[in-house]
Amino acid sequence: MPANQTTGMPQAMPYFQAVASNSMNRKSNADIAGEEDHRVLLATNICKSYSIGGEPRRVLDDVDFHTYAGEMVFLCGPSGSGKSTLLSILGCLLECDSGEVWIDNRRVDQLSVSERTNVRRRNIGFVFQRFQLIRGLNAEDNVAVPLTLQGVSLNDARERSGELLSRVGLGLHRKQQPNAMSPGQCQRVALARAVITAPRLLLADEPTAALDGKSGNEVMELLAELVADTGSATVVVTHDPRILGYADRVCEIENGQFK
Amino acid sequence: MFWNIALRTLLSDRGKLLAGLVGVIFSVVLVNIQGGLFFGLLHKASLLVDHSNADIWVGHRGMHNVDFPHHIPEHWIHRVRSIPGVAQAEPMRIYFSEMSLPNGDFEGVMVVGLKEGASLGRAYKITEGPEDGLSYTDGVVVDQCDDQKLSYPEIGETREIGGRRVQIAAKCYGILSFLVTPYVFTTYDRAVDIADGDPSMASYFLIRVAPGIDRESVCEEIRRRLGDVTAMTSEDYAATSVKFWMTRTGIGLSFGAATALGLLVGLVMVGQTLYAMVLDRISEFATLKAMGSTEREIVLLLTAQSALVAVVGICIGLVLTFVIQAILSTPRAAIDIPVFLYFTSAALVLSICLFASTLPYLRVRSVDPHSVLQG
Repeated sequence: MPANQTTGMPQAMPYFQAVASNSMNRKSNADIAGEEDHRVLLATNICKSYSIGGEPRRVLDDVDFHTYAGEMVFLCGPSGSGKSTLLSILGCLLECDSGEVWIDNRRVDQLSVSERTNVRRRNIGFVFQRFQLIRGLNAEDNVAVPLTLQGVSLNDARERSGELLSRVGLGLHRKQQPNAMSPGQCQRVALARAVITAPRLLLADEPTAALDGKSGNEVMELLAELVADTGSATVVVTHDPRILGYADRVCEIENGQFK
Repeated sequence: MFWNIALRTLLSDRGKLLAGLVGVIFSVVLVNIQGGLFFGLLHKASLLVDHSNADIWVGHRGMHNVDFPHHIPEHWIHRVRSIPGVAQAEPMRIYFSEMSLPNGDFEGVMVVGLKEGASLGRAYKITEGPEDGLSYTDGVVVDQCDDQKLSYPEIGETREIGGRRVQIAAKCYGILSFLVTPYVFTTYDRAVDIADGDPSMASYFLIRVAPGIDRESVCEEIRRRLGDVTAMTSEDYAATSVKFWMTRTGIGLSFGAATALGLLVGLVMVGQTLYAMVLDRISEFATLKAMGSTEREIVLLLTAQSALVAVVGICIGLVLTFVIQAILSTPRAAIDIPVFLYFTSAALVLSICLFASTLPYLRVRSVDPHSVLQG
């Protein structure tokens, strides 16, 4: 895979043409930089401290961050550097101590818990390190969950989920339970679940950490394709140097600050 | 979708589902069987009244239990018969006595004396021996269910009650006393002989009113004319007899405690099962929260799971109760489950299961969706 795969992406897929009204083709970094309108995520002066053993410890120290629609930004850094904390704050899962977070021109850091829940539901897709698929639900139903949370009927959600699973190469595994699938397949299902609503923002936490090298690359290929299809602004937290080539931009964080 | 998630996640962990179902089934069966035994036992306290075919029972003032009469002058029955609306009035005698057993022991019995050919107060139906057994010399009727207590008396066998010779003329089935003393039915006159009672006294007058006559007004008139008696409709006296045992023995409390224990066990089992399921899936709940599930939806999911466990468990429990009742209910240990108890137990167990879902909810509520990004 080339270091920057913003060109030569697969043709836009019918699923997202139908679903994602906000879908857009990926753009080069130069294009993106010139288009402030496409800045989906903006975080400024983010600070966050934890109390460890009674002592406050600053995990994020005045961090600024932004991503554009269709851009894939990687957050790298050693363990404890603040990557996951930043991802949680960007994903409205965690409140920052100070600073501002804007998603789609809406300030979200001051919202109530229920409003932030709604922002996550409407605007954000998540990919987790350990897939976090729901046992008991087959692949199709797992992928359908975010749609049903948005009020889509179960039958419609299943239909769209089935189409997307075919898109990610799991058309024949629609009815399979997560425990009957390989880790690579599970992460594909998780990717499909994350993008089925064509979210404005896609956050991935170490998506290849639980996969072998081959599966990791396949998943990243797929992620890049899906991001291209949906136009989602994407932030990937990773330790894995093998996948850095998929990034449009790599931000390295250490001791709570970008290098 | 939440019903789908609730159902499928429940089914995917069949071991825990089974444990939860066992808890609910246990509760339903225990509540119904305990309740059925309770009502069956209480029912025995009023069997003589319930099967008397009488509209009104008249006894001494303050009568409170059909098995413990205080005698009244027999000649008052003429005054009762003269009251307008009284179609028929028959006296009845009830005495405690002892029956001799073949091995020389004695068994306490309750001798019930009825006029020959009386249609009121004849609670029994002959199931073995001649229908007119009481017309035989020294004839008495005993209940088959008391065979063991009475050392298996045979038809035609001679025994003694109160030192007087009696002959087992026939047997009936299912008319048992609330007390441990078996009923022995005989004639009105023979009863007073056997028990060495006062021939001028009766225990009760049993009354049938004419069609269309208000029974309460007849009771009122009896009380007005006789003064020293209590007159009650059969339903009222049955309830009074039942209440006597309820209030004076604490039986309601003991059965109620056992029933409450059953509910508590069910509550703990269902709560524990749901809690264990939630603990097992805590990261999935965190994932749902991260994806934007609201607290309300999480509550709905857990409530749906509780409700599913409850409804399935209640249905199986009720079927099992029917089976147990059919197999184990006997006149001696009757399991009389009133219809309201089925509904009440179902509603109670359902409520408890829904309440039990608050325990796992408290755990889920404390789950921070951020935790899902912490490995």
